[in-house]
Amino acid sequence: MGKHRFRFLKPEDIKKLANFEFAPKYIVEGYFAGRHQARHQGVSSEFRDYRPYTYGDDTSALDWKVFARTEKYFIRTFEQETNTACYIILDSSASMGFGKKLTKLEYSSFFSAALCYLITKSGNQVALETFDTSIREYAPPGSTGKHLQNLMHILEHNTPGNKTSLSSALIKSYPLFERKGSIVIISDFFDNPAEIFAALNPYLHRGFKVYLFHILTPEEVTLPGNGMQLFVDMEDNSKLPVHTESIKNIYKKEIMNHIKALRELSKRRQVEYSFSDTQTHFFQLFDKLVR
Amino acid sequence: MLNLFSGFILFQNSAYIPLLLLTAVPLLLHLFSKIKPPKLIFSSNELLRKILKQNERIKKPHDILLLIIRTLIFFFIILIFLKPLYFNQSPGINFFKPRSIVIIVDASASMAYNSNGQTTFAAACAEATHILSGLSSKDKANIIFLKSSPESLFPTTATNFAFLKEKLNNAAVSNEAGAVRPAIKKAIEILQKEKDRRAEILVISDFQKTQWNNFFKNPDIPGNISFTFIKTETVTSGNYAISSSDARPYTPLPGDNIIFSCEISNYSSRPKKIPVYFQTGAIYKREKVSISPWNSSEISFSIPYSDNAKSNQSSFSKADYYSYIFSLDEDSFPGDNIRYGVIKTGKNLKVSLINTANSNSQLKKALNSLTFLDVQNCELNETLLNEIPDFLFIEKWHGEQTALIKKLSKLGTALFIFLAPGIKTSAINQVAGKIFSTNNNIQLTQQNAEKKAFKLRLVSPDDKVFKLFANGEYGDPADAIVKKRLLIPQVNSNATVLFDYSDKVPALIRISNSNNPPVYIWNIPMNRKNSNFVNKIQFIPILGELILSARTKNKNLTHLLNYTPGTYLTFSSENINNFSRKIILKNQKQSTFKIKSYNENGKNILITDKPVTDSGIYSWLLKNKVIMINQVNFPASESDLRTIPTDKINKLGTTVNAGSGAMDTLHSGYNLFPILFILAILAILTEGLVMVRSEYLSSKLNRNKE
Repeated sequence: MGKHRFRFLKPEDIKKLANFEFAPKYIVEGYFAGRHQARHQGVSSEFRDYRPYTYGDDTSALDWKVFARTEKYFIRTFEQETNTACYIILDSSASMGFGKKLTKLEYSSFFSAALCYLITKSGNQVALETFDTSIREYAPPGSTGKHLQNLMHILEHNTPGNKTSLSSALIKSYPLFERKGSIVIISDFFDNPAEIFAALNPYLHRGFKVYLFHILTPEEVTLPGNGMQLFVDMEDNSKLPVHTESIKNIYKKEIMNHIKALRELSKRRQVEYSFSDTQTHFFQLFDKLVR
Repeated sequence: MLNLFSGFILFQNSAYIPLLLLTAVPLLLHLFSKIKPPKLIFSSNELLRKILKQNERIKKPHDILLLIIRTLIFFFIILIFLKPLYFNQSPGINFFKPRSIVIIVDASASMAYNSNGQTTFAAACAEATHILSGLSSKDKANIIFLKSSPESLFPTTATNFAFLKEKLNNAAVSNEAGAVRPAIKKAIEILQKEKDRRAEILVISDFQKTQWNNFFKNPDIPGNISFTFIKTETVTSGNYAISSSDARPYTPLPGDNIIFSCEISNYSSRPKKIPVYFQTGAIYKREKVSISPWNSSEISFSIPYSDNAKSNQSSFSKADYYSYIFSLDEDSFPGDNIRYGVIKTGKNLKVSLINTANSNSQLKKALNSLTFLDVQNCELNETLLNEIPDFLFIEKWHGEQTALIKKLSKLGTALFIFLAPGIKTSAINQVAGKIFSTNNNIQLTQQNAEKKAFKLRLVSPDDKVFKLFANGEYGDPADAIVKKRLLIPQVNSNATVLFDYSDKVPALIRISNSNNPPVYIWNIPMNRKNSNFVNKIQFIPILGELILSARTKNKNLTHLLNYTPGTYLTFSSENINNFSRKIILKNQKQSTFKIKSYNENGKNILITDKPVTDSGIYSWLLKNKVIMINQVNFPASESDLRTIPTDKINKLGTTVNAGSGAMDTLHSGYNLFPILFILAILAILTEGLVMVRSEYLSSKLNRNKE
C-alpha cells in the first residue's frame, strides 16, 4: 500500500489504527478456526462440556477417564474458534452528500475504510454494501489484501445517489449475508425508526450483532439559514419555504426526538447505537466497536 | 353621535395622501418573502415538512392576523400624519364653496312644550342663533318659521345675521299647526336662486309625528340641496289634551235639553285620572275621567232646561249664541288643555216644502201647526242652495232633481220624501243610497185596497222616535188605514222600516248615514181621501218627533265650524250689507281685531286683516249685539307629542340633536387624531399579544410532543 494510495485510508490513520483491534466478543460463524467463539462444537483446545455418547459420534472424543470412573461413555465437547465476518452497510443516498467541509458520505467512507482495514488486518472477513433506494454495490466477505483494495476502490468511486430507503435495502440484503456475523450500518437514518427495526428483525433473529452509526452534520442538528429560506431537498429536489427562526427550536427538538427514538429502540433490541456529527473524529466511533 | 357611514373625511395634510400606499408594505413584504426566499440545499425536507404541517394550524391564522394588524398599524400611523377631520354630511358637497342656508324653525303649537324651564321653541331659537354665529362673512342665511302659513324673514338669503338673530330673540311660539310642505317648498325656492354656493336647509324641530309623517313618506326634494335635521329635546313625560268637543242637538231650540261632550286624549304611556271642567255662562261643572295610555275617553255634561232657568246669567231659553268651555288642569303643554265651543239656539227650524200640486195640503197644515218650524213653499231648484234649509219635504216626488237633493243632503238638510206613483227605484237609490234588495230598476205602481183597507203596523216600537208613545198617552202611532199605496219592494238592512203594512210592504223607511242627515221615504198618502193617518191625533206628534230627531250638523252653520289659530275669520250675510262698517270683531278678552271687507258674488264678506293667533271665542258684534260667534281651538293634531323615528329622518339627510354640539362638529369637522392614536396603540398591543400567544401555543405543542 503506497503513500496516499487510497483517499479514505491514509497512512497516518493506519498508524493510529495499530492500537485498535476489531474483536467483538460475540459468537459468530467462521470458515477457519480462529479467535472468535463459534456456537458449533468443534476441534479446539477450549473444553466446553460432557455429553453421553451416541452412535455416530467420533470415538476419539470418548473420555476414557470418565469411563473408568463411571463405566459410562461420555464424549468431551470443545468450543470451536472461528474467524468473524463483518458486513458494512453504507448509506450512499443523496442526503449523505450534505456537508460543508466534509460530507456525511466522505466522513462515513473514512470510517468504513478504517474499519475494513482493521478487520482484514485482524484476519477476519469484511463485506461492504452501498445502497440508496436499492443495493448499489456489494462486495462479499473477504479478508485478503486484494479484497481490501477492492473495497477501497468501491469507496472511492462511491457518490451520493438517490433517495434513502434503509429498510428496503436491508430486506434486499438479507439473502446476501450468508454467514452470521456483525452488521455495521452507517447512515443519516432519515427514515422511520420503526420501519428500520422491522427490517432488522430477521438479522437479529439469526443472531447478527448489529451496530448503527448515525451520522449527521452539525447544520442538520441545528437547522441552517436565517429568516425565510427555500429548502431544496437533495433527495427529491422538492422545495419548501421555511421561516427558519420560527421553527429552529422545534426542529432541534424534533431531531433530538428522532435520535432518542432510535436510541431507545436500539436499547430494546440489543443493538449498538452511536450518534456522531461530522465534526467529531471518526476514530471515536471505534470505541463503540471495541468496547 | 357620529354616524361614520353617512359622512366624509377631509385630510388637512392632503399632500401626504400618497403615503397611504405604504399601507401595502406589510402585505408586499409578506408576499415577497413567500415568492423568492434564498435557496438552501438541505439533506432532507422530510422532518421540516412534518414540523410545518404540525405548526401550520397555529401559525397560518396567526400569520394572517399579524399581517392584518401590521397593515392596520401602518394605516393608522399614516392617517395620523394626514390629520383627518370627519364631516357628518353627505359626500359630494364642495366643501370650499360659501354656504347659503335656510333655517326652518318649527314654531308650531307642539314646540310650546315646557321642559326644564324653557319651551322647546326657545331651545330651537337658541340653536338657530348658535348656527348663525358660526357662519363666516361669505355665508348667507335666511329663516322660515314653520307655522300654518310659513313666512321667510328675507325674500332671499342675506348676510344680515344680526337682524335674523334679533328676530329669533323676539320670536314666540304659535298655537298653530305647522304646514311642513309649504315651508320646505319656500326654502327650496329661496335656495334655487343661489348659484356657486352650498345650498343647505337646516330644520330645527321636535319632528312631531302627526306633523312630519306625511312629508317623510313622500319628501319630493331636489338632490342639490343638503338637509340637516336638528332634533330638539325629546319629550318623555307625555301629554293629555281635549281633542274635540260637541253639543247636541246641533240646532237646539229654546227649551231643548242640551248635552255637551268632549273627548279627552291621553298621549302618554301611563293611565290618567284627571278632572274635566265645563263652563257655560254661570253654569260650572266638574267631573273626573279615567283614560288608559295612548287612548281617549268621552265625557258628557247634560244641561237640562231647568238648570238654565235657575241661572240668571246663562240661559238657553231664548234664541241666541252661547259659548261653552271645557278645560283641564294645566300640564307641561297647556295649549290643548282648554277647548271652546259655540251653540246657537234658534227660534225655529227652517223647512222647505216642495208642494207643486196642492199649496194647502194636509202636510203643510200639519207642519205649520208645529210652532218651532218656519215652513216655506219652494220650487225644487238651485235657489234652495242660497239658504240651506234644515229640512226638505217633497210631496209627490217623481224622481226629478236627484243631484240637487243629494247635494242638499250632503250640506246637512234632512229629507222627507213622499213618493209619487210611477217613480223608479233607481231615483230613490240615487238619493238615499242603495236601499232596495232587488237590482232591477222597478217602476213603483200604485195599489188600491179592494175590499179591506191596508192596515199600518209599527215595526220599530223601540225606536227613539216612538219614545213619546211608550206610555200610550199619545195613542197608537200605527192606528191608521190606507186605501192607496205604492208597491215598494223589500229594503236592505241599511234602511230602517218604521211602519209597514200587514203584508210587509214598507210604509215609512228611514235611511241613516253617519255623515249626512237621515232620509225618510214615505209610502203613506198625505190626504184624507186615501188615508186616515193625517187625521189621527198622533200624526202631529209623530211628525214633530221625526223632525226633531232628524236635526244634524248643518254644514252651512258657520258658528259650528272649528277654526284653528293661523286662519282668517270671515263673516258673510246678505242682510248686513248696509251695516258692515259698524260690525266689529272681539275675542273673549274684549280685544278688538282689525277687519276688512270684500265683495264676492254680490255678498259683502268681512275678514280679519291677519290670521288669528290665539284660540278662544271670537264674537262678531253689531251695535254690541252678537250676530255671530266663531270658535278658534288649538289644533288637535299638535297634542300628540310623539316624534318621527331618527332612522326615518336620516333617509333624507343628517340628523343631529340640538344643543349637543354636533352642529359645530358638522361644519368644523371632528378631529380624528385621538381616535386614530388610540387605534394605533391598540393595534400595536394586539400585535404583541398575538405574537406572545403564537409563541405560547408553539411551545405548548412542543411540550406535548415531549
